[in-house]
Amino acid sequence: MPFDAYADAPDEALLALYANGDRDAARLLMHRLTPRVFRQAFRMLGDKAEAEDVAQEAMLKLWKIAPEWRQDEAKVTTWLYRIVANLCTDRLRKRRGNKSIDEVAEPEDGAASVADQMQQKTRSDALSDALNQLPDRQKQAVVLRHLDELSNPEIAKIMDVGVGAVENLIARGKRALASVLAKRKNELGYSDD
Amino acid sequence: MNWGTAMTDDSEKMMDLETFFEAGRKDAPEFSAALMSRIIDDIDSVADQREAPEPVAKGKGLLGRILDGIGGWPAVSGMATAGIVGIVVGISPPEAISEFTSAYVNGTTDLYLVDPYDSFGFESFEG
Repeated sequence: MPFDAYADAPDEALLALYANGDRDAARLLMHRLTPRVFRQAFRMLGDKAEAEDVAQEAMLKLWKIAPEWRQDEAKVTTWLYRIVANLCTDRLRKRRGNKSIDEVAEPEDGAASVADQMQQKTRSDALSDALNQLPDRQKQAVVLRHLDELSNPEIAKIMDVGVGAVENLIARGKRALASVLAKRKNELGYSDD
Repeated sequence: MNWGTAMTDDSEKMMDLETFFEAGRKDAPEFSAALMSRIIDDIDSVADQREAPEPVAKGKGLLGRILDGIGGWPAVSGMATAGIVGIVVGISPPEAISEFTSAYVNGTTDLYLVDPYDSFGFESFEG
């Protein structure tokens, strides 16, 4: 398997190799990209099974588009982030068709019971709950910026908006997050000292 | 971390937010091995479809070649319509046609398709 030979090859080159029949190139691309595709989907959806379905669907779209991929266009990662964002938005809309916003937004009961053992996991879960209360676009921008650690220009390409709009979405998202988390500070076990 | 009641400043809240982001980044979920298997299946199936030979178009038979020669099915339908009209006119001709044909075939009036009195004939009448 020529994984070592391809180790330094850019994603776009691997995709071109796959388009020319090299399946190993696609496998290497899969190992490189699936973790971040899955993470992005999971952070947007908060459901592992659904995130795996989205990751598979996004990667399938990549395999199919390989022969038409133009090397001078977008980066593969940017394209994939956009695909995942769109797939997640579709699923979130469908969910909201079945549930009221209040149902989605309500944090799980029982968070107070872990007040004394505030750990990283609890913070992460609290963040996930809070993110689920944001409008989709704000949530997407905040996740890409602060969890996937992408630059604002890259997020702008993914979301197909200007950099100013991204900054605006992130700022509003963070204000909303801070406000949601502040309401839960007692549950989350923060003290005054 | 201090999120006490005295803390109302936005920037302070934002600073606290970073600890949540950090926790979120570290709490990366793991996907199942089955996901990788599913993706590998997709890689192979898309490549198989792409590499499958195009189905070879069958050669045309005699009828197909005749049809092509006369202009295809549209030409055949035109010919069929013309044929049917011909049969109908033959069996039950319109009045104008039957008058003309009966005068031509049985009537007393001589109808000529060729002028019997050409320039030479006219001169012979005149003497």
